Amino acid sequence: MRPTHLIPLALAPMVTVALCAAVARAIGGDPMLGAELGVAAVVGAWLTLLARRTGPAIAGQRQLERVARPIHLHGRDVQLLDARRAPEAFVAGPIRPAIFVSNALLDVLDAEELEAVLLHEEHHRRTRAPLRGLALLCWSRLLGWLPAIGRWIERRVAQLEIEADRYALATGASSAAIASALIKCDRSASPLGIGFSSVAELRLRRLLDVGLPDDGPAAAPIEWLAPVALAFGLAVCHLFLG
Amino acid sequence: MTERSRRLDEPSVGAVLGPLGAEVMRVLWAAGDTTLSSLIDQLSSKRRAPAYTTVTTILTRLRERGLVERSRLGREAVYRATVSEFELVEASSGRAVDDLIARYGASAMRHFAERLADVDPELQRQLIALSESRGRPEKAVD
Repeated sequence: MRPTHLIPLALAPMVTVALCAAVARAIGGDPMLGAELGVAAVVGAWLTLLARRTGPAIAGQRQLERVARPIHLHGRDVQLLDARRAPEAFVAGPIRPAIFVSNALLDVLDAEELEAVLLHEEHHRRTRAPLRGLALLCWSRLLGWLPAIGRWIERRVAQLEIEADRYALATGASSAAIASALIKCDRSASPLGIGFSSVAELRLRRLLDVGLPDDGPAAAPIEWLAPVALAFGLAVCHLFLG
Repeated sequence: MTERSRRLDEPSVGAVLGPLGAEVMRVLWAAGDTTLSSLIDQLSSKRRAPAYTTVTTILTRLRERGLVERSRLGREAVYRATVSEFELVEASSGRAVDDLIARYGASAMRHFAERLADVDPELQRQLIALSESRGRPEKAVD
């Protein structure tokens, strides 16, 4: 990732704060107070959205764990779901994530494919990808209407999957096994198969090593970077306006 | 606790069919072929006597779901369960899981699988070629 890619990421929140300050000044108020209120509003709204989604996500994980059977699979603790309609493998739980697989997945995958899938999910579990996904979703709800922000969020979602694939490849899985598992688990026909085709394409291009897009700003952890950038923007306003 | 979460917490016959539907099925599982009057008698011994129309409505719904079949014995209708309790719970828990995945899947989970139908056909072709480059696979779980 190029350091120059961080500039727009940092600038966007700072411009937001500066705009709030300018509005405050235009209406005859204290620009510093305007900037602070701007930061508080954006971060507060994001935290509220995140908190409102985290609770149901934890409840969902608990409900899944109640109907799942804990098993030891390829050296890992996994929750086995009795869902035979579709091969499912996912990580759920924002705080203490767990790996879930369905019976149907065990029915259709061979040992190498299953290992690749579990390695992919292991990365999601270790990096708390569900929480990061929620954080991104909240940014999307808040600022996704800005085309540039929307694109970054989409690329970041793809990056979460690409990072998990890379981890799987670095720890013993083959790209062919991941490809084969992806085909067998294709969600196209499933009513639950909702997703961005652009995210799938970015992931496949990485896996296939074709037309590799530059790692760009999406590789930065913008889900956590944005509030930090906002705080930084506020500090800058304090220095120059305060 | 809401009705929905209670159902998912306890994937049982009652959770799937409702209390009266579950009682009807339990009578049919225990007694085998059962006439309507006998069924109502047995239900009445366990709880407040259900109305005749309520029981026939429940039986109609169970027949529509393929859980019960009806035949004639003289002038009386005879009902019989077509699935075992185990089969019903097995199928229902799968549905409960699908419900949960649908409910929480969009935002709170990271799925391995992707929807491939909408991606570039050339990428799809290359993905298939890559997957076919593998040797003979071993079974995942024995």
